Amino acid sequence: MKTRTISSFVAACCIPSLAHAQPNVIQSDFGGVGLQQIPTARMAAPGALTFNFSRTEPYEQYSVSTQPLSWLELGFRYTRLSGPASELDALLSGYDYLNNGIDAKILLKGEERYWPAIALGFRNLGGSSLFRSEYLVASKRWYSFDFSLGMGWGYLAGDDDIDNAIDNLEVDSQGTVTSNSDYFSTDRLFRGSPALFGGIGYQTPWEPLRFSVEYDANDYKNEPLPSNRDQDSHINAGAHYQLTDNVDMHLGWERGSTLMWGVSLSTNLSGLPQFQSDPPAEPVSASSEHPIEANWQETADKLDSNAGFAVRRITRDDNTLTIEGEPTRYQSLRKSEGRANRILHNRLPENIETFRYRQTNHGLVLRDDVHNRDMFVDAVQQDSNSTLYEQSIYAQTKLAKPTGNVVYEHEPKRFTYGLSPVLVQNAGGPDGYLYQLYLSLDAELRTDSNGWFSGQVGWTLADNLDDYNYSDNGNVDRVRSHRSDYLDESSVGLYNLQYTRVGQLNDNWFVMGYGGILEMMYSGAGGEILYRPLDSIFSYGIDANWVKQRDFDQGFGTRDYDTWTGHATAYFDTGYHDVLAALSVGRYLAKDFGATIDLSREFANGVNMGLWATFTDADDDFDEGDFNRGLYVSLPLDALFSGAGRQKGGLSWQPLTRDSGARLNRRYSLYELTQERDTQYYWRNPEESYE
Amino acid sequence: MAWSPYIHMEGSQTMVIKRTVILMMGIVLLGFLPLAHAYTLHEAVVNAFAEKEDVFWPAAFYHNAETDNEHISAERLAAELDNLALQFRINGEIQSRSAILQWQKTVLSLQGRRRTVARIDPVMLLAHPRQNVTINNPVVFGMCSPSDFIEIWSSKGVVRRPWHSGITTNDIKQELPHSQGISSQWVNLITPDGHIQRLGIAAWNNTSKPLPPGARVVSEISLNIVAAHWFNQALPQWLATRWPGDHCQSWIYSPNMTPSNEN
Repeated sequence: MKTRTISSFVAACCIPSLAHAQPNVIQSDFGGVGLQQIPTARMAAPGALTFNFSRTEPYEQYSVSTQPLSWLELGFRYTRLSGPASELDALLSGYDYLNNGIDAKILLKGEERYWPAIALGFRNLGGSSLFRSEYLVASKRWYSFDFSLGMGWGYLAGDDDIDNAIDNLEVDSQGTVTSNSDYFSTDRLFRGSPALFGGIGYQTPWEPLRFSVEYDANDYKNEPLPSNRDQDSHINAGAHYQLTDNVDMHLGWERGSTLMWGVSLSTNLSGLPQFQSDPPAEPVSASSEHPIEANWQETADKLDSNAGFAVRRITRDDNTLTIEGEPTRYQSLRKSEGRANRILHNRLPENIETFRYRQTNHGLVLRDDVHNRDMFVDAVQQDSNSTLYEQSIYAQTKLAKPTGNVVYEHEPKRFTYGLSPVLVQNAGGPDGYLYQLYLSLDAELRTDSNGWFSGQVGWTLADNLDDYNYSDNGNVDRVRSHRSDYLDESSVGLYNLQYTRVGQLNDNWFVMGYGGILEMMYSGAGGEILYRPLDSIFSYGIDANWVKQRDFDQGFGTRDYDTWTGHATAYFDTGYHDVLAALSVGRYLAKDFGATIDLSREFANGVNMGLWATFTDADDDFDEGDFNRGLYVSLPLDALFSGAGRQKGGLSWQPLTRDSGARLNRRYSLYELTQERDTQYYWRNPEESYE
Repeated sequence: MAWSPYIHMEGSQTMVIKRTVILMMGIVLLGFLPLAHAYTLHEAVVNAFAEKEDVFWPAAFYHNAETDNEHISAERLAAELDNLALQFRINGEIQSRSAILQWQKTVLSLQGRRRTVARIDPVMLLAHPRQNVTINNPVVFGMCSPSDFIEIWSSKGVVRRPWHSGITTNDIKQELPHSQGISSQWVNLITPDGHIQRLGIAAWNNTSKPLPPGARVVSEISLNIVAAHWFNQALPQWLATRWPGDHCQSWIYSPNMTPSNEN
């Protein structure tokens, strides 16, 4: 998904949260709901996003935890181990250690009167072995006390599987020690001797304060750096103070010898409100006098400024008025069309009975939404008439141009541009935390309703990609691992300059062709075809691209490497809690063949959480492990900024320098351009018609 | 004194049936009067309460019998309670049966005290135009004195406890004892403004919520039969449509004012 990437701090701290303190929900040191070192079977509310930091000498844990479903917790974590050389053992003297991995927890059974909540969890799923854990945990509440008891394998059990961990450590020229194993195998799960762990959370009568005490089975002497981890006790205790709805602070005493402190920033993305700077909706005139002729220019201007509907053409056929255009302002088409109904009703002769909104995007006709004028007016005036109005609305696909007289026509804005900060972050591989923060200047110039030039210039403000050192065996073509070379060459680069055309073969088939500088590292040309019936749970698409690697100076020159890449993709709307599954099969940039599975959940307010994993035949040739994976969150920017319109911002964690399983970053995809072919949110939120 | 378009009555629960008959007859008679115009609820409220003093707006109410169809009737609830009482009798649960019969008696006593769930204070109506509905038939307006009790429907029957500032669901737990067939795990809290919330009250799901004066706390029936599942949904919904207090006055209002052009 092409989204603007925004600061995680903004997302966590500055988004007005609807979430309030949940009993039993404390972020553990590792991130994810737990006590301190141990997890519990509790879950955060669906839509929760939490950034967590904790420090327990010598570890620093940085984690992101998401709750896409009520029974599924997903997180991503970096663990940094540091300390002066004198306190580290000979193996790692003077170095920092970086570890990262994906954590997951699944609620197997919710709590009942006699049954505890039961969850199955994984730490460092697909990550290195040092912190790898699997566990089964049960939690049962008794008033203000929450008891948890679990069985853990790996790190949670004090596993002495450190040989593998040490074997995987690597020291780079910067003095950073990393674990180079992303190797994932089900054979390694639930191996070794399990151990019991448990703890108690206590909610004090003073709501912001909670305490925890736990038995941590881990034997810290089994870790690679024994001199730094004295363990006088297996009992840990701590306090958790909720400073605001969004900020939780933690302080504890662990191993009988070590101070723990941390902070969690959280919000619930499913409850994000829209930034309240909208112009008020027009009152519906109750007057029985309507103009004989409409002022179409004024009407179209008002539709743009108040309803957020950029009108391309208005056609009148007897008592039906068809308004063709693109939504520009509100995430909800119900809201756009409700406001447009008011504007049209106030300005049009009374013999126009039906408003037909022809929703388009870059010239693609996506659907027609048909409203009965009188029923809408009745519903606005009285809530009790809403049902009749709701039942009268229908959506359909009608590619043929509307019949009747064109009473207004206006070319869409030819030139648009925007400036935004973008943060890209690395996940997976041996590189630890890598990032690039740049300022992006985007522009779009339309040549006609179906074609446009797009461009993007990026100015790198900060990055640490110098820390990356290519250390692979050369069996895989270097298709992404040159990223730091691009940034070394120039801090300002042309990231996109392409021409795109879209079209429709019939009601359900969409096509797109494009060529030029397609992304930061590749130029070329390609095309896509998508079959997407209105409201179908299945859609299918194929894209094919010929690309050539660009010069490091990010100008118009190219390097020797070129290839064909493309995928056949099936999209499946599972119908389960708005989860969308997308399976892509095809050829990747390094000429490797494989598949990507992407699972995401979109909440009613447009917030999207997802994860993906790619498996290709080059994984075995690649030293960094056997599969590519990432997490992402995207959210409507109108929750943060006034006037952001329908743009989305996002946070993602994905490999930036990994060569196997790498995909072309196409600027546009037909599935996104045709998102209004899915009307489920339209029908689900009828009250937005009156906002 | 200016002409007033309402029939004025006062009373308490003991007069319910008699008052209901009079109100219904009044509504029927007024229904035959020619209606010149339609009016907004706001206009009707302003007129209907013009001569009332010390109106406690949170306990003011109206009922429009023409538009507010009753989906759940007291008779149906009473019949289901009969069935539940029989079930408890067969199971030998004397205490639960006794409680259920008290519930039935209370349901029947509240039968005529019906309202439309909506706030009607004028400021709120002006701020929410879509709730400012049009009235074109006689309606009942009323207002109650502020309540000073909490009403608890449990295995003890229907009992009242004095309300005090800061009282929460945890403070009335002793009034919700365990009994076969009547849950001590889940209750429904029905606030005087008609809001319904399902709450856990057991050790494993306890949620402490503040109780406003006049709130009703209703235990769930925990029998695993269809009638109990329906009843657990229906009774709170029905109670939400009862007058928000004991000491109330109500009167019939027939619109006769200037037509509205608001929306």
